[in-house]
Amino acid sequence: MNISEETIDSFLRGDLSGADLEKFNSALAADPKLQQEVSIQRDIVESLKQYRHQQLKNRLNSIEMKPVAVGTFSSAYVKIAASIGVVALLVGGYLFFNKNNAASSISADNTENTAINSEIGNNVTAGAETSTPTEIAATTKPSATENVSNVDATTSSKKSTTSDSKKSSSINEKGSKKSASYSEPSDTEMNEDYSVDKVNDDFSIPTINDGAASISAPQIKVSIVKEKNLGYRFFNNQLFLHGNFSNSTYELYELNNKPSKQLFLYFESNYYELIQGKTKVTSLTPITDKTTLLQLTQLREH
Amino acid sequence: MNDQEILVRLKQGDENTLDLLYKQNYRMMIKLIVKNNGSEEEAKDIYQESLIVLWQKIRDPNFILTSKISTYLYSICLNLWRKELERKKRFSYEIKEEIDIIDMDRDERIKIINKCIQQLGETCRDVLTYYYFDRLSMVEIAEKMGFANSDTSKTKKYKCKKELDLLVKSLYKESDFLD
Repeated sequence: MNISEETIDSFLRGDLSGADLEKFNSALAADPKLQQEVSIQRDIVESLKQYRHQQLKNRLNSIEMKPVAVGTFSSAYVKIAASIGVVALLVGGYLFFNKNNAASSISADNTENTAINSEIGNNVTAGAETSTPTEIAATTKPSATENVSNVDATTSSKKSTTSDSKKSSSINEKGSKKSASYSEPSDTEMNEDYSVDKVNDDFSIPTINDGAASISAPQIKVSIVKEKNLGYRFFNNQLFLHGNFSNSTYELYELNNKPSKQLFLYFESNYYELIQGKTKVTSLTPITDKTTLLQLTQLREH
Repeated sequence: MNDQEILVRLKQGDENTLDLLYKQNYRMMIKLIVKNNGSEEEAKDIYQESLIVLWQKIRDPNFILTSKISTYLYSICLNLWRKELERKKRFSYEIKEEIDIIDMDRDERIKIINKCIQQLGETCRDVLTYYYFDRLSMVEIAEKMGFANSDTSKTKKYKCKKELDLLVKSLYKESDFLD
């Protein structure tokens, strides 16, 4: 009986059952050549599994955790600065680490502060090849609406003054302290649930429009597709970034230029525009337009 | 995210949700093992292993979670830790059994295969490991890798596996593992 490679594959993946499995086993018993092939294939599959197991383990290992404590907020990852009607968003491997805290700190700021430009650094270590930054969802909190009038006061003048940034960075410190205490869980035992249910996957940031109070930021979820060439596509409200983002930081910025919002990617000292609605993988070419570049650089430096 | 959402995402092979889960339960699980005479390093290792057990289990269509995820993780951790304690105990009493020659041969072969896996391109490695370890379907692999469709996944999987087979077999020949 002739056993195909596909059947060997199914057998090793554990997908054969019943009569198929019986047939396979009897063929195996009768055919030394097949036995050798299956033995080689088994080792290969086993090694692939081990490889992936180690990869996942490295991934988890690269998540920095404080010794038997939930990680405290580190302000290095979140920088909040006032700027011109712009919301910038950064995604990173460590974001998840702080996501809770970041979100809470920002919404805390939200009540006292106005234009917020959040930036979260991504420090993926070069060694850990598995720690890929990925997903962030950006939504607008209804509370942001309340602040819009406030926002206009600081932003419509289109002057992003240094005092503004200073103010907000001090607020940021306050915010970080707050969230540090927020994330301090009570000692947990089996049945205690450390506000796991409260964990919100959405990273809430206020979107600020130049003037108008209409806020309707779409949910943007980012997924990374490992690839050599830089590219992107939007699919199902998700942004797929193609490229090798394991070793450097990438940042996402949103510019609220009238009449519409534009999304930009900053990666390895280049800016790229991400056009929503591109559902096919589109390759990324650096922006050369000077005005846009200036705007983005200014934004990024804050 | 509630448990249900976490489960759905883990099922889809979302590694970020795994990270999230890791962080959410870290404190509890580490404490559990440290309290049971483990070092923090051991605790971390056991906890990570438990998460990977869950990661794989969840792909089983017959898998139904009747408790909270944290409760389930807790029990896996405890089980793995008990096994580890037993292993340690045995180890201190007995001198390790002699490894027989056949095993040495196998170790050598596994080493060779690992070398070949390293030589594969990243895409190939991902496709193959997602297929065999994560047990993702071709459709899911296409989604995760950003392929056009499941046919692309299938072709890639086939080609990558062929490439790996050839690499392995040529190195086997060099080392006289093949007749």
